[in-house]
Amino acid sequence: MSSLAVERLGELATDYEAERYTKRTEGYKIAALEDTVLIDDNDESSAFTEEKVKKEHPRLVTPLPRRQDFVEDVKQIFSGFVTKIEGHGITARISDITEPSRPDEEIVFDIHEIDERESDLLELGAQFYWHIGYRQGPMTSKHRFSTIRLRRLPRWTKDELEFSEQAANEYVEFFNAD
Amino acid sequence: MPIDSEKPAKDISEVSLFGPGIGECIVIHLGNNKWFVIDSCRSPSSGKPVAIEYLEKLGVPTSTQVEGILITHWHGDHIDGAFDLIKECNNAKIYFSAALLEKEAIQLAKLYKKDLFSSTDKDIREFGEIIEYFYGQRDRSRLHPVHANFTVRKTTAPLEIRLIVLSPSSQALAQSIANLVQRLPNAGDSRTRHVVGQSENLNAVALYFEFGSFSAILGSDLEETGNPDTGWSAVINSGISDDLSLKPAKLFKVPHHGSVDGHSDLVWKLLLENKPLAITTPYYGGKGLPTEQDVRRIRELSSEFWISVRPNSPKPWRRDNMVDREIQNVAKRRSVVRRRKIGHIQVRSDGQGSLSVQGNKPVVKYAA
Repeated sequence: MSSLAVERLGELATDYEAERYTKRTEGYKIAALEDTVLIDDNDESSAFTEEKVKKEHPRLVTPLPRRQDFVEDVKQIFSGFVTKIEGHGITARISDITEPSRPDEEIVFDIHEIDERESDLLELGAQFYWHIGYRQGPMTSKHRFSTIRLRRLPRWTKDELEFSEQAANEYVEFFNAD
Repeated sequence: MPIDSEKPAKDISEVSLFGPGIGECIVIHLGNNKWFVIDSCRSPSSGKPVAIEYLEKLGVPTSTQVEGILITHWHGDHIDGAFDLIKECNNAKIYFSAALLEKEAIQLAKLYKKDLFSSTDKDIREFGEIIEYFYGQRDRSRLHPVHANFTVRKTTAPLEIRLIVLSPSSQALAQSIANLVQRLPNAGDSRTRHVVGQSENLNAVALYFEFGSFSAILGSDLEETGNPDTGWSAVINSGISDDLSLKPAKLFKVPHHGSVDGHSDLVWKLLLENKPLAITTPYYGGKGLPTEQDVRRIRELSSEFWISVRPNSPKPWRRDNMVDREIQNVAKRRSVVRRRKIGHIQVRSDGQGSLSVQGNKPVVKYAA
């Protein structure tokens, strides 16, 4: 079994690229594991392609243009969520994924740090990852990068809401019984 | 003066304020080896709830001598570690705002408890764990929803000892439940975070504690809203002070980290002694609390103002040079929301006029 970050799947064109990507990220395991899908290497039906992932997880994949192959050396990953949006300023609480024992921070950053293609995801409570590191490709020199990517999470489903409501009714009945 | 690490005698009361772990916690000795805990935060060094760590240090058997735990509201800075605390103090009664036993609050807790993507919502998940635990144990006898005028404890001999809930008012409860309804998502809505909003301060449980001639008002994060039926105005307007003959308090745990949002002139005039002892914990998010103006205001109103840790935000953690530069390029403002050392203010009284105050190293004291 191997696991890959769903949010990155849209960027991977072939199984070959995916495998290389997995190897590259092995050292730091992209962000939170809850965002992963499990792929069974021995199961042909689970061989994934961008098309297959888009079909099966239409809401999970942020469509991105394909990139040149490059190597990333990620030095720092934060996860965060937006606590306030005021004019061009975004206030967020961030947690250190690279070294979780470090304390959370509150930061204010400019709205322009967000990719315009993801602006529809920006709202109070929106979650994001912030990657900082070096990137180098065959046609480009080594350079620093800092990328804030809003997470495109599955939306609340009717089933989840119905289940929670039903459970809440049972709990309230129990707690309020004389 | 250093903290007294000996257990108080049976006839001595104690109010110990800890914070910020991320948040704050108050441990009260009710006399006669009975203890009460308000809210929870974790010790940054051990990860344990600070109340447990302190009571163990004093040699208090938490299972038998902690008789109650009050969760004043479900913000992350007041509920962190509450589930561990509740399990450890397994004979304590648990008190929280009546709004939190409503269907909407439980539904939110159930929803986020099961949600793999909600690792950031520590507050609502902690609350969910507590509800789940009692439901799983089929035990409702320990849970006590509270509201203004609820008497948690009253004994009269040899000293009068009382714990009385001052808030939330019935209108604040209704408003809080309405807010919960709004926070429930609909099918197809984004899976966003930040479920427990600032408005929950309206629903915070403030408490009056009396031990003989000593009394204290422990303000939680209760705010002054300007609405006569909610916040501190509701406490004043309810007439509870006269109805229950509350004594003007000698000690004030200043609400909401000294913020002006929690300030009410009438509380200082009607519920407190002239120039009481004021204590609070700081908050490091945003511009930080208390601000310099807050400190000035509280110093003028009190005989002494003690803050558990210096209010200015700790310096951010040093990282790789390149990473630090990139963070500085992006972040226009930045503050750390937790310190590595926790402050402890310890107030002891014999209930007959004597009062002693101690603080550990991080504590800051301002004389009037």
